[in-house]
Amino acid sequence: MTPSQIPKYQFMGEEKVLLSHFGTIDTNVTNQLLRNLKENNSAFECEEISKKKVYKVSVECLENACRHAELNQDQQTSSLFLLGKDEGNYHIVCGNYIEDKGIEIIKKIINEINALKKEEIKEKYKSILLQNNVTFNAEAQLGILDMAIKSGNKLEYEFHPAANNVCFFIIKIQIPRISTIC
Amino acid sequence: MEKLEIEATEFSPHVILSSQPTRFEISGESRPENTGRFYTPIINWLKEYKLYLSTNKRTNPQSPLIFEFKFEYFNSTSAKYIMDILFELDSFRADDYHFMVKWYADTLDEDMKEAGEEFSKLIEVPFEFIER
Repeated sequence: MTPSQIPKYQFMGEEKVLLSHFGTIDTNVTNQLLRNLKENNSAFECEEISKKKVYKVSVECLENACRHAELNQDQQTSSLFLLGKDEGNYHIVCGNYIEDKGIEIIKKIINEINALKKEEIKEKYKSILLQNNVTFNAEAQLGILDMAIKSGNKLEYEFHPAANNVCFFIIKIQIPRISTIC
Repeated sequence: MEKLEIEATEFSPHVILSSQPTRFEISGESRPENTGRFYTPIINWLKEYKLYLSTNKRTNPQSPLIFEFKFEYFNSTSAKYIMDILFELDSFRADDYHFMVKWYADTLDEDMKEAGEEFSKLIEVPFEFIER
């Protein structure tokens, strides 16, 4: 399964799509997507607080996809990034191939974070910052914790089986739309 | 002591560390491609500065040295190195030199202010929070 074969409605319902990317996510793509997000003032009119949160969560999602994506059966690092909004929230959907052996590790990390209260998530984040050597996995964990802190919401995830011991991992984050005086 | 200045890019902050006149500031966006390579010279400069102060037997300043953080954004990987910088500032106390942190945050950026507050709980260096 490749991201382009997955119908868009599986990730986004009736939300208006503001930004979408299907394909390799590397540093150049990350920078271009973040540039587009920064320059898109009309989509975030009077919602500067939310825009900042969307930007921060997007960076962590894109950097995780950039660093942790595995090759699919076509030897490509095909990934996806979607940003949409509905009446109440902004929705970020980010996906990339991972090795099957990573499924349980990721599930455990996200489930543990989802079970924590906001202050507990912050404590967990700080405990990783205080470690002398932050491993590659702890670095990914730090990014996921940051997504939970900034969004203030539970993180959703899916795994779609693919060939050659890899699967397509999707993380979904909701960020509330907060109006500010403008 | 030679100052350290790093120009800002789209994804890395402007850095200025100067002993004469004293100025310590990091400003802008921090998500460098290689975070370790970006922040290591900053941490090394601070270690050298501590040595410079103690070997030159400088009179302890009456007022604390001010380190200004003016981030627009920093990613989680940068947070680890910001923590290392703060620990380095904290270590100056052993030689009787005292840093103070001025932590700037945009009025609409509650996360940035909160991040500073969380950092401040981990070290003895006093923080002043400034909205801009």
